[in-house]
Amino acid sequence: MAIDGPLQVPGVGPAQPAKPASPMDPMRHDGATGTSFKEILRTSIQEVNQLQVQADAAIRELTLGRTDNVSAVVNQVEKADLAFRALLAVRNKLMDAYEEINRLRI
Amino acid sequence: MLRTLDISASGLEAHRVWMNTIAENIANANTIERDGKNSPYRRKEPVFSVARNGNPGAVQVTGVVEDPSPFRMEHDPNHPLADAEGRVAYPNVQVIQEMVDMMMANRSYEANVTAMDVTKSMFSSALRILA
Amino acid sequence: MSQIFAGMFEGGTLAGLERSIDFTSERHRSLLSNVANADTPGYRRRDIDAVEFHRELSRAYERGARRVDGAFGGLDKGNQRLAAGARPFGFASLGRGPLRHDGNDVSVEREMALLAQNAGEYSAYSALLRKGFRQLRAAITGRPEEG
Repeated sequence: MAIDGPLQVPGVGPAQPAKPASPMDPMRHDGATGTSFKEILRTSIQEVNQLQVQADAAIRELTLGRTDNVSAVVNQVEKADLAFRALLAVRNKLMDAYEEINRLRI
Repeated sequence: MLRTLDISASGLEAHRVWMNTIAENIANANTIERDGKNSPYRRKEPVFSVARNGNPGAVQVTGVVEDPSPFRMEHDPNHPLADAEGRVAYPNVQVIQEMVDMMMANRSYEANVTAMDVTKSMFSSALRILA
Repeated sequence: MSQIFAGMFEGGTLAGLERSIDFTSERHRSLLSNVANADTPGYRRRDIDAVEFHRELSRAYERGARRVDGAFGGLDKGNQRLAAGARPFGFASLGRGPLRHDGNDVSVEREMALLAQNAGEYSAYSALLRKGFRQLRAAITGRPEEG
């Protein structure tokens, strides 16, 4: 839940401008086509955050008595929650994969 | 939250007192004798007021008062309790009015029961935050 | 009090839900009084002004958006004031509720409708608050299946 304002994720938050990939950047994308992984991560976090901001706005409208459409608010909140949890699950899978690679002895 | 149940409970209690009074009035609608004299039953009525101390907002019965309206007089010279002019005094109870009051008391009693249910469901939805 | 963790809940929407729950439970008390006193002579219905509460909450949200510390502190006091002043709102101020011959202006039907509406709002706010807490918990533990 974005408490208020954009979700601050250190290093990937929207507050940080996109830096050109340096040669040392582990997330550097060398392929000729497609978007970089970093880019995908950033847009998905922004997307989830956007959903959270919308859900928060919907809750505020409800508490301010400007809407009584509870089902719409609940829908929005549930979508944002699921998106957040999906992102969390993807992150966990990636961390697992990273740790697995890390354990490989070369 | 649970203390608010007391408010509804006070409503239930007050209306039960009213119901009892109505029952007493109807039961004694024709009671005309006491100690061998023509001393009819006087209609009774509870007095409701807002509780000042204790639980603010609750209702309380401050007392049960007698209805000062005149007795119903009937001309019946052969009645053993008739006075010198052949009249007999009957209670100032009108059964139809008591029935109407009973419906009102019943309706308010049920409203308080429903209000109590609402309070309980609110309380349990607050508890679900912990689950 | 340490503000390291308290800030997690004072940011905005969660705090707003909390205050809304406070407000609806205070309003519930007023409505219960109205039902209990439906036959008390001279009783005038009491209610808490929802418009005033919404105005204060809206201001608190704006303050919160500017990230001022304790944006909801003022509202808390305001809410207490609102609660303490569950003042008589007669039919004159709300423009409804027929005055009966015994000087009582409670309409049980309307009070019951308001009671149900208010309780529904209360349940919705507490369900949303619960959702928010569970999401925080998932974020803390990093387990999406949490909550």
